[in-house]
Amino acid sequence: MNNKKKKKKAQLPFRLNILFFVVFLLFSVLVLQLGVVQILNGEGFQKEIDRTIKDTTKIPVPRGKMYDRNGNVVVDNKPLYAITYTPAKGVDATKRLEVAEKLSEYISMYNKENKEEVLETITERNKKEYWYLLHQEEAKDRLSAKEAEGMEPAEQYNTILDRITKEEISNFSDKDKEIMLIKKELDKAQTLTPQVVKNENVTPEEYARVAEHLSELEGINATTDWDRIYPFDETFSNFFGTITSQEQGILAEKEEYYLSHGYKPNDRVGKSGLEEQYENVLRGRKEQILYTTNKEGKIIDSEVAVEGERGKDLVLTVDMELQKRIDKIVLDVLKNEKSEHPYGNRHLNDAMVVMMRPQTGEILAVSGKYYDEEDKEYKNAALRTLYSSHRPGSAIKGATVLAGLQSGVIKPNKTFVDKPIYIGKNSDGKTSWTGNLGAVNDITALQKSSNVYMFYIAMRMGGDFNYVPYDNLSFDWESKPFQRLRNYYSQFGLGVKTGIDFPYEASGYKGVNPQAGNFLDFAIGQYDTFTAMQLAQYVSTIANDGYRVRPHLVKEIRMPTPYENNLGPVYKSINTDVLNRIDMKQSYIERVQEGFRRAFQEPGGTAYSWFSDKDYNPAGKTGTAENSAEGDYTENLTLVGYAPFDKPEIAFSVIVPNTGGSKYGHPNDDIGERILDAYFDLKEERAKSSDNDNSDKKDEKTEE
Amino acid sequence: MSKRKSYFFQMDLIVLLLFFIIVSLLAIFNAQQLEQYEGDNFVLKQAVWFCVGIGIVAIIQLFDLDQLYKASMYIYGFGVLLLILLLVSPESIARTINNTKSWFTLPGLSLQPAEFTKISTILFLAAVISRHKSKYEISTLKSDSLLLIKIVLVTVIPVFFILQQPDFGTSMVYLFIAGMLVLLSGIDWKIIVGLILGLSLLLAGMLALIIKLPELSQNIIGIEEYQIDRIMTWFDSSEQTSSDTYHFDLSLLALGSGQLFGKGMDKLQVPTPEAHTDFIFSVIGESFGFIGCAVVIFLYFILLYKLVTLGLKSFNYNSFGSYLCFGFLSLLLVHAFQNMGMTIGIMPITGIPLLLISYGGSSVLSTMIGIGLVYRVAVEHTIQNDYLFK
Repeated sequence: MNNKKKKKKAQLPFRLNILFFVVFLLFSVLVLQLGVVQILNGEGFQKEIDRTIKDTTKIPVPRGKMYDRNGNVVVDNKPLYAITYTPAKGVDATKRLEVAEKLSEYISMYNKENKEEVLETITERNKKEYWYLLHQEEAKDRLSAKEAEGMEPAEQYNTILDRITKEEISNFSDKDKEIMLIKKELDKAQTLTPQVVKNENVTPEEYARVAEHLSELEGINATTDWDRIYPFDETFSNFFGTITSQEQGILAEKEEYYLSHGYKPNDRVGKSGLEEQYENVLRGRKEQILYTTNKEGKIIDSEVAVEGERGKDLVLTVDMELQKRIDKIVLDVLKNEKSEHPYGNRHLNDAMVVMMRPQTGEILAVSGKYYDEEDKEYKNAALRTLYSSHRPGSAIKGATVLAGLQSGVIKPNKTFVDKPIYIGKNSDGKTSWTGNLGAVNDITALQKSSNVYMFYIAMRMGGDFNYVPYDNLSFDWESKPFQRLRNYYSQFGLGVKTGIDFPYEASGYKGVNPQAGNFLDFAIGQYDTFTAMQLAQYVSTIANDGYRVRPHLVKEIRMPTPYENNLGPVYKSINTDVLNRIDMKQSYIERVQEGFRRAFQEPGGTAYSWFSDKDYNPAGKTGTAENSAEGDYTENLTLVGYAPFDKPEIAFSVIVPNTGGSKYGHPNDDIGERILDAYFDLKEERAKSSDNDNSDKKDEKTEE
Repeated sequence: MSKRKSYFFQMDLIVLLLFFIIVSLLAIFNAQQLEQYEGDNFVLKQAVWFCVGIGIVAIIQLFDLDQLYKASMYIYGFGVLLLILLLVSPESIARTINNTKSWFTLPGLSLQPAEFTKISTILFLAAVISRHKSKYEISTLKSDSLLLIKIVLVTVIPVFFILQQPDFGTSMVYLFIAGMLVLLSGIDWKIIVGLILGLSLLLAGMLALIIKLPELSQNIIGIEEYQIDRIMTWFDSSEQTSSDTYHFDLSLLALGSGQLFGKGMDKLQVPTPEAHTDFIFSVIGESFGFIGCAVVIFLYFILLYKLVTLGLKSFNYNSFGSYLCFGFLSLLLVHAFQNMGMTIGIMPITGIPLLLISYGGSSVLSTMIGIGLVYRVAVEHTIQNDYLFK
């Protein structure tokens, strides 16, 4: 008994000792590990805390403006006060709600007129999310732990939102709704990227109130955003193009390009036209602010890393006054044709004009009008000069003659008798526009627009030098006549891109049916199709003694200035870009030029009745191409030309597709006459007014 | 009269407690500077809890151990009743927080019954063991087995209800305490070794099951997914849940950057989550460095040592008091080691507070009740000594 007791007594201290020893060991492990963490690795941890993260935020600057060649502002910026939100890292919904609550005291998201409409934009989900934030604890209880099990956090959240009843979200005050509206905008913001919360209708008072309270509104800023305005309204607006809104942001199809060039997803960029083409100069340089944030995401320092600079300005080659007048002419003529011959011209819906300087490629005016059958109204369709291609008819005969001369199939002054040509047994004859023109040489063939002369050139180019009526043509297809003629044409820009500084242009349609008959048609502009811009380049090349220049819409890029509507120093001049010199001898070109002059100025010339009495010495070529629209016979009426003949200032092309035919009128010639008049009248007016006050010589100077 | 007063004046315990209170208030003050919970003054609240706790310690001194011994079964029963009540309470007074139903959430006051039940269970375990010891003076394998069954029964009942909340961490604390008492109750080595072998086999099997077949184990053992995650975290750092990793990374960053001497008062840089409660030790580490941490560990060591010696000295004439000390010692030990261990990465992350330091009404009050009990043991030991030497 005693023994047992002793044993029991001895047992406890023994076990306690072991236990206490174990405690000692455990605590030693703690101390040891603490030593490792705090003394061995402590410095490393401190370094990690001190490590800061630098981020840059980019603040948008206004886009560059656009001026016309005379220094008139044509695309301007309208500053809009904007309240922006730039969230710091790790800002959550609760924080955003706080900001929204404070901000709602200073700004209103709607005014009296649009109150109902704006409030409608609050969705049920917006309301539920708001309710959720206000009643987080209660909301979380709506989902039991059991249900939450196995649900993704987003799913849990959505389930909770579903369980918020209609009654609970039905009694929000206007104040609450205001907060919801603001928070909706805040939620769109991405970390360290400014997001516009309100920019339309920010009143100066709101702007001032927010600006005063910036310190308590974390991430909020009062800035200015810009909208494009167009002082000349619709004039030339198709070419200016548009920019995206902040919601649209950068263009999806070029996303990688933009992101790699420092754009943010919600940046406004040029979406079309010159805005797109010159995006990289117009955009300017954003102000870059370098934020230093510590590990907790608090901003501890900010400095301007790159000074902002607004976009550079474009000085366009376009003369807005001339553009306006030409727009009016084109519209007048089109309207007139349609109202005088509503049935005959029922397929006539549009007309296009390009006017440019042949030596430099500067485009002075581009006009296109279009009658929308559905809306029953005339619309601006200037871009059709770039993308809408048509058979030009005889207007391209200058190129055909030059091809004939250069290829050696005809010699200068070669004469053919213009009478119907019969190819094959059952032919009813291919003629010029009128039965028999008699003997024509290379010059008079152009003056009188002889198809037959062109057919001879084509036959010879095809290898058939021995035309026998009612015989089939025997072409040497080995010599690839289509290819050869197209090569000649392309030297004038026909069938190839003109190289205009615009995001898009068509190069026309090439026929795919290489038969001898088609080849003859090809030579008189009845086969491949071309755009008005290509025709303008073609006639410029002839006017310019064989030098093909790139047409361009921008003349200069100017540095921005702080002064309103003042041009800054030239950043870059767009120089004349000679794309190529045609192969033809100067003497050949001169013969074609003479043919063009006679077509306009000598009796028998196809455009003689329009241009014979003009003192500006014009030259050019008319064109008529047989066409069809919805099964009806139509004619494309075209005109290319330049003036003055000896020292060309302007070259132009006119296309009026699908008219009822020249029996109803000559809208091409009418337009051609009136736009040339308009140009030289305007020139005279300006000369007079500059004589009067002797100060405005801008335009004269730039013409050299 | 003066003699009587001196019985109640246990200098060493009082000084130790004062140190803990100071450390706790300083640490919470620092944690509060992180402004994670704006508006609440946790220092003040904690101070109030300590004052209430001291009041309770004083009240407990009005009872002698004999009375407590007799009341222990009812106190234990009351504790278990609270746990049952919690489970059947409606959400309005017992809200589910973080997927567990561990709290009575009354307006202005939250109570965690499991904290109090720890003390009541220790009290009853001590009573059961000492009663058994006096009944079976000669311990045989049979009597030892009976004692073992009694201990297991008393422990398993509250653990069962706590697992329903579910609170895995707290359950483990109960099991640890029971294990320690089994060890110290003098049960034969053979049984203990057998028990340890059996339990560790079972545990290893469970762990293997959890790790290898987590989905199956949810059905068989009935543990929750997040608990599996936590166990996984412990074994495989690449499987850590992001939230746990985040907590742990910040904790380590805070603690480590304190280095040898700490950053001083009010100079915290790392926003440790739960800084004033579960991760208070990180705050201590960041504020007062290795030295500060070592002081805290030392304080615990002294307290544990005090309890060991007190238990040992009381054992011969007052085994109830002695087992009370050992039980409470076990409680402090497991909390301290687990909590401090988790902040430095040698234990898994659980929601177990650092007793006497972490902020929290329930844990402060229940710990103070424990202190009150061992204080009474110390008082009676002093009286006994006096009596012997007279």
